[in-house]
Amino acid sequence: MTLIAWRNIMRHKSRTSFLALCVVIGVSFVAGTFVLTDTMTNVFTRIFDQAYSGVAVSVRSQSDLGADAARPPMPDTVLDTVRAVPGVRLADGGVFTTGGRIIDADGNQVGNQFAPTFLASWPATPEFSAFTLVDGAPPAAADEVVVDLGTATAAGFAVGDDVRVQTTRGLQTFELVGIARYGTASNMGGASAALFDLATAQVEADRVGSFDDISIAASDGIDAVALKADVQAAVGSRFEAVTGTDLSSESADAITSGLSFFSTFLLVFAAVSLFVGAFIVYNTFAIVVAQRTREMALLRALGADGRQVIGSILLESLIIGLLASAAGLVGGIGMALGLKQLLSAIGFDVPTGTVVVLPRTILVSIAGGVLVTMVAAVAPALRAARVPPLAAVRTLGRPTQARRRGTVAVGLALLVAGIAFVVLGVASITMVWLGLGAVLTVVSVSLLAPSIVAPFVSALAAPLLRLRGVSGQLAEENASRSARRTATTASALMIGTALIAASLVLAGSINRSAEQVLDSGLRADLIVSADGAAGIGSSATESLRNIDGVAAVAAYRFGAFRIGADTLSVAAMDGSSLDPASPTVMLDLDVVAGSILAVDGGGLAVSKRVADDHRWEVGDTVAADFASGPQSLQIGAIYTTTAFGDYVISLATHASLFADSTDAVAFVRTADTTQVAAVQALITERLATTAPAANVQDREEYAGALRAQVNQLLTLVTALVLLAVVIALLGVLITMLLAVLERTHELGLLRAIGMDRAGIRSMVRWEAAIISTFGALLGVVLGVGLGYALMRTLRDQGVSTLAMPYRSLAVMVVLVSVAGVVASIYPARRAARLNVLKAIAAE
Amino acid sequence: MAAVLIPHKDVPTVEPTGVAASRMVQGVKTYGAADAEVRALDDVTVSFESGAFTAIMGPSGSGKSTLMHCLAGLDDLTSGTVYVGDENVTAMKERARTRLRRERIGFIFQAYNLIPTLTAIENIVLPKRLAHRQVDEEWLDTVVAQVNLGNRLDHTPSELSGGQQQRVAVARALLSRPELVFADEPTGNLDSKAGAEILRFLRRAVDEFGQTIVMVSHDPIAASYADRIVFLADGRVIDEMSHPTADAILDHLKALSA
Ligand SMILES: Nc1ncnc2c1ncn2[C@@H]1O[C@H](COP(=O)(O)OP(=O)(O)OP(=O)(O)O)[C@@H](O)[C@H]1O
Ligand SMILES: [Mg+2]
Repeated sequence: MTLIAWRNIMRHKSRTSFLALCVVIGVSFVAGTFVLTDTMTNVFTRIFDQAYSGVAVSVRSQSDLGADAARPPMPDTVLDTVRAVPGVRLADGGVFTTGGRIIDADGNQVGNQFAPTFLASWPATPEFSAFTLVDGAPPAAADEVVVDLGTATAAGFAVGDDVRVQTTRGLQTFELVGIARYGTASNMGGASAALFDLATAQVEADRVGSFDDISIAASDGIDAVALKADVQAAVGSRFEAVTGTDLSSESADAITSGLSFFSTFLLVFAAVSLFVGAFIVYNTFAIVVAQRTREMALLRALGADGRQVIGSILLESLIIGLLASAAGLVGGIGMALGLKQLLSAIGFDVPTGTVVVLPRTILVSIAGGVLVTMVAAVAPALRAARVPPLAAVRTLGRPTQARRRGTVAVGLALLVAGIAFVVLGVASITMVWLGLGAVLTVVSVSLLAPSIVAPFVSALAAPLLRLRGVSGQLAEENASRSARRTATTASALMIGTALIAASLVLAGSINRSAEQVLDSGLRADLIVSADGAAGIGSSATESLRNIDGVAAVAAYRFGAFRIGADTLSVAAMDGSSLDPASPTVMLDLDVVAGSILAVDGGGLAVSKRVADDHRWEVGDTVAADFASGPQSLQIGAIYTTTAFGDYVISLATHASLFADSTDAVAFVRTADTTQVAAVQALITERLATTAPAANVQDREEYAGALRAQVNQLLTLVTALVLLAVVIALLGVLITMLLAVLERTHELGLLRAIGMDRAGIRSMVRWEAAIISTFGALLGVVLGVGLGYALMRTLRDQGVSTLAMPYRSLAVMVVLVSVAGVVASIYPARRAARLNVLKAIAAE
Repeated sequence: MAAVLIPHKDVPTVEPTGVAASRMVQGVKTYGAADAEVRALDDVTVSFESGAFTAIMGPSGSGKSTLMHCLAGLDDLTSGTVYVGDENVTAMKERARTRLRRERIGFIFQAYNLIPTLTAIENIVLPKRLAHRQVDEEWLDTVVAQVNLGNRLDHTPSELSGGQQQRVAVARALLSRPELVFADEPTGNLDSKAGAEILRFLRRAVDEFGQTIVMVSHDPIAASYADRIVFLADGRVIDEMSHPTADAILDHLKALSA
């Protein structure tokens, strides 16, 4: 039986290769995700190890907001305390804050919009420096700066250039005296850095008389861990001492946990690819088993027992699975490169390093690929074992009717269960139920699909195909004759198209909902904003007030805080900018309880959804943790528009709670709304010198920018789903290859009675067109449903209005159908090239 | 004509034993529901002597193939019992039947006898491999020499002529020296020369190795190679004949249809 399995693989090399390719793609995806994230983890670990190699112990402010929140600075007197600790050989204070921005010659921010730009001090002690100069000298004067190699390369800076840096003091010009590397990398995972001498850094980063951290070197023979304890005892509980080793792994962990989110995200799509691959494997084996019925029966008549028949098919799938997984593993390294491109496209630059392939990667890839292939082959193998030996000598009337009815019953039951889970998921806002429901629905539709093929073909395809003459008509009949095959092949295609359709619907709905919120909630005429944590700076807002035509300007700030274990974000604006009755209102939050003016008195406004979650009412007091310490805030208003955040305080409250006073956004009302464009031009001109990276947008442009963000995500998801679609298209190719093989005799007859090669080719292509259009349409129906369910599930996130992207959906159906035809070019050629005599002789 | 075609019949070396290798007792096989019932076998009681070559003849639709399938355990009787040797096949479970087919029965079908992906020689040894049995090399050589395939043993079925394919099937059926070989019109697709080769070969297996063969045939000349003929009509055994010649069979058939 081993021999038979092997012969079947060797005899149908092209089919086997395409089938293996379906698995290869899924496995590559899995392996690629692991390789990429492992490689990145490795690179970052090495970089941080090196960066902190000279630091035995470091001191910083205590913060229970987690590593991602900014820590308050500590007074420089702490340094004296530290230096007095026995065992401390050297100690230096340093400045290290986010919130800077380096501006290139064109006035744009250097580096990607999501990564921070650090304003930091260049350590006086070289062994404390994470940076190494590759050119020039360290910064030594108030007008000197060193930037990281990544920034210098991206902006084309050279030592000696004038470089503009936006600091807490506003836009400043410095002389670039040096270019440095971070460890071995050109930058810190995409982040930029402007490095000054200590005194300058303290001025520019608003740290006069204070430090962000103190780096300590130990005397000879002093253990870092012991020293840490001594330093901790000396500085007291408001500050925290950590060893350099811990600091390094803490930094690496922060990166790794960010990466693990990303890798989970990718693995979901990898799983989809594997699932679609399994579908194709199942379909292929099912067809092959049906084609080999006589062979199976003969084996059974010759004394093969059921187990041997099952074994032979599982063995065939095992071999394919093994080959595919091995190839997938290799392909995974290539895939990792592709995913890395994708990462940098969404703004995460990865330093290159040696490719890391962990044993876990090999194990998961091989096991996953083999398992998926073999599990998919189980059902066909069982079916093969059920072939009665008598089928060797007789064409048996197959009990299709009963079986079909059984399948339909199971399919309907699964459909009901699937929809029930989806409804449950939507009602309880539980993604897991929703996902389970979606999977069940996909499976049920694929079980029910064979029953819809014939009506579909005759209703939709037939009128079109009749126009195409004999080839079209034969294609149509072939498609409905092998309804099951058509349906399964289409179902594989359905999965990918459904995901894309759902994303389209969801993205459209998010955009539409956002537009509605902007229409009703955003009252400002102009929005001044800038990407990244640096915001637009604080002086910029003030500078807008005296511009001609500006009626009012309002600043909008952010801050991180914690309630219980959740780290949250609070927005700050004054009541006068939030009160719909005020002539200078910028945002209308749609208050349903209390008064928004309460924020001016130190109150907190919360969205209805968090109020409902916590059962808060106006007048309740909320205990929250801020970097500056715990605080009780009284709820003064509850509002429904969540597009601008769930928690709102006044600017004054913000100033009392946060050290940082960066304006994230400035809202502007014009005196005359017909003059918005003119005012916009004036503001842009004013900011060119103080905040060149700021964007000044009118309402239309602002909405467009929001849309662009959603669409970027949509593109990312579509790119990842595309692999599943490619696998499904390979499935179309394989199915058509098998169909051609099965109909060799028939094709020979057609040729013999006068159909030309072009006719044969077009017949095969039309059948593929029917299959792929069927799959795409099923996918659209399913995807629209899923998209609607997702939209409803996200109703609390401000997605309230369904938008049907009809045009995009139509374009997708057409593209998928055309792709199906392209996939059938090869089988069509094979069919056309059949030798007529041999084909007729074949049975 | 007939005499030329059956030279071996005159020099038997192994005599039939008189022991029943296969039996059917009161076999009934019906197809379809009550109103449209077809009685393919209608109370058939027949036995096949070990070491003999028996032919089953009868008009199309008379139940020949059905009889053979039921005898071989490929199909179930509606009522009645089938024995191979002393064992009750009707009472056997599918697993036991599989073993029976593998170890004690050989088949030669009219067509599609061979696994298309395997070569001739691989097809011949296939049942042995399915049963995880060692191939008796000497016996293999003997059988292979008989089928006279020369250098075509390593060819796949699609590269063999119909007659060659049938010879491979015969070799396969004989290799495991089954107690019983069933052949359903083994020469039905062949011309008379190729057919005669197969029949001579079967005859020799009976004479020289004591093989038991049950063969369904339409063709009086083919049937004349047998030691005995069982005639079927409408699912019943209506007659039989021993040591037939082709002419005698023809006369008999004429008499039956008259
Ligand atoms: N699966 C089946 N379902 C219904 N009727 C059947 C089935 N198989 C055989 N029959 C009927 O049983 C009867 C006997 O068939 P069988 O194949 O045994 O005939 P046969 O003598 O071998 O004929 P032939 O010489 O044409 O091969 C016929 O009437 C046939 O129509
Ligand atoms: Mg028959």
